[in-house]
Amino acid sequence: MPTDGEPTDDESLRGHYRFAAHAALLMLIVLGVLAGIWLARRGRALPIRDIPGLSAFDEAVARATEMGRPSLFTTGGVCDPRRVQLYASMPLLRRVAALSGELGNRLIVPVAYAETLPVHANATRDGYIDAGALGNYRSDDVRYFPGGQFFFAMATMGWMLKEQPAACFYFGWWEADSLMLAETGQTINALQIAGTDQLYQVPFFVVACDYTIIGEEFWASSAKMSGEPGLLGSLGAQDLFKLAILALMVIGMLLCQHSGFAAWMAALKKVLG
Amino acid sequence: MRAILIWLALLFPAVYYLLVFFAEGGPPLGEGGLRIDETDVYVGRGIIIVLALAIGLGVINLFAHHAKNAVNKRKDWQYSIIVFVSFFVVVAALLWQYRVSAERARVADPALPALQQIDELRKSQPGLTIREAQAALSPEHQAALQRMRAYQERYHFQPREFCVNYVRRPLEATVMALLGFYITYAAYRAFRLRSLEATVMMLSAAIVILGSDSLGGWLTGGRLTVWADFDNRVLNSGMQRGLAIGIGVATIAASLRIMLGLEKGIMGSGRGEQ
Repeated sequence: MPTDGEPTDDESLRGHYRFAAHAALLMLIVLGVLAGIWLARRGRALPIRDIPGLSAFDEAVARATEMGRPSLFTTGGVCDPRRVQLYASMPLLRRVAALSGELGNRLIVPVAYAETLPVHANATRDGYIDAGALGNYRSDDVRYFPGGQFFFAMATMGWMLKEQPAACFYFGWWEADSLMLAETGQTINALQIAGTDQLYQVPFFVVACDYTIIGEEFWASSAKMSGEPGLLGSLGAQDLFKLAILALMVIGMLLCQHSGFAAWMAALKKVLG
Repeated sequence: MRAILIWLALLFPAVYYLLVFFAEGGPPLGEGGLRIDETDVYVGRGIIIVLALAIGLGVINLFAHHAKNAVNKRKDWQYSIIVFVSFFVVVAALLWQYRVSAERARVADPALPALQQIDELRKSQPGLTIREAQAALSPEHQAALQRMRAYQERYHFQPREFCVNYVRRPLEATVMALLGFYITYAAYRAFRLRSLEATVMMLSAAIVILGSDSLGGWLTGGRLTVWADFDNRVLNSGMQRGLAIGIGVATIAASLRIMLGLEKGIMGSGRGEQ
């Protein structure tokens, strides 16, 4: 007999079923993505449409260079090392650093977490190396602002008003500081590009930025920008999975009109808890 | 070499935490051994130790850097002095707080049974004042209460609490309050009729705002409320769920690309290493 707080056999079994279902779904998606990568490397990648925000990277840095003002890239005040969005943003930081290196522009990078400072510094430095302009890299321009989200936001806003960046890039995991920085960018007439999969912050970026990369476009950004067939193949596989999920939803809706199937689904839901 | 090390540093924790997640409630490793998800506690302790060492190293670096700045009077060296002053003020506040906590455990906690007894007495005898209830306590309990009062008078000012409640929180609240102005200005900019999309957004926002308000419903006989509800529950929810499905699949694919080391952008160039 289970004592208080211990799961019953039924609950435990349901837990196992649930995890088995999650694992099976995850494996299915993983295998699909791997198949997409494999097919793309064999020259059978699906075409991926252009993302306007990504195409504007060159224009933004070039504009900043012409105006004699720096560019700014930040992942925000809450993008801590546990957020995979941080790592997905680093190829974009590297690209902006490479563009800055090529054009002789200065790139400033405010960072909110001490643990992520080396990650940002490496990506920036690698970008300058890609452009063959390591000499232009200044470690002081990748700056750590401690104290939490709002203190980071205040320090970054102050830095923005002082340095007047003409191109601002906001990528990663964002919360309330999104609008603070984007509005500051507006006041200094910067060309702003943002990207996040945080749906609650998307409206703020949409109204304050020139380009906003929404939801899954954010995850596709680095692959699209690299142009590598393997990475593009994974994007094609994602789209096929979304189609499959959509088809399943439609089939499910139709089948649920049949009372026998609805009862069967209810029983399955009970088993999976 | 650096790229391989970075890739391994990403791959091992990713695989480990994936195993921990899916092995929850699974069988133990060997007879009487640990379950994989239980090893998480020990890994967490290891991470705390590494973090503590990193903080120690950080403090040494910080001191060395700012000491050089101040001694050589480099540009903006005055800020280095502020770093030292702030550091020692905060450390002093924390040490004081440590002393306060130790005193509380020694003096205030033994008075808790006396306070409890006062509560019980006042419940059993309604109308009894606190002073009368205290007079009815045993001499030991009365002495404990006196020691607690002396502690409260002595440690009335708590620097850490002061820094948090009267400095940090008001500052955060002030910054947060700025958001209201930013949102208003951003909303004004969003609602200007610049294009077809902006017009649709403005109309949609007008319906939702007026429909959610009792005035809008009253003026249109409840029609606007129904439209606003439809906008929120059908159009908006559908769009959000569609995006959420895309984000879910894309997150798995992107994580897989990072785990497999396909995202060259975060693996380092390997060039220009010193």
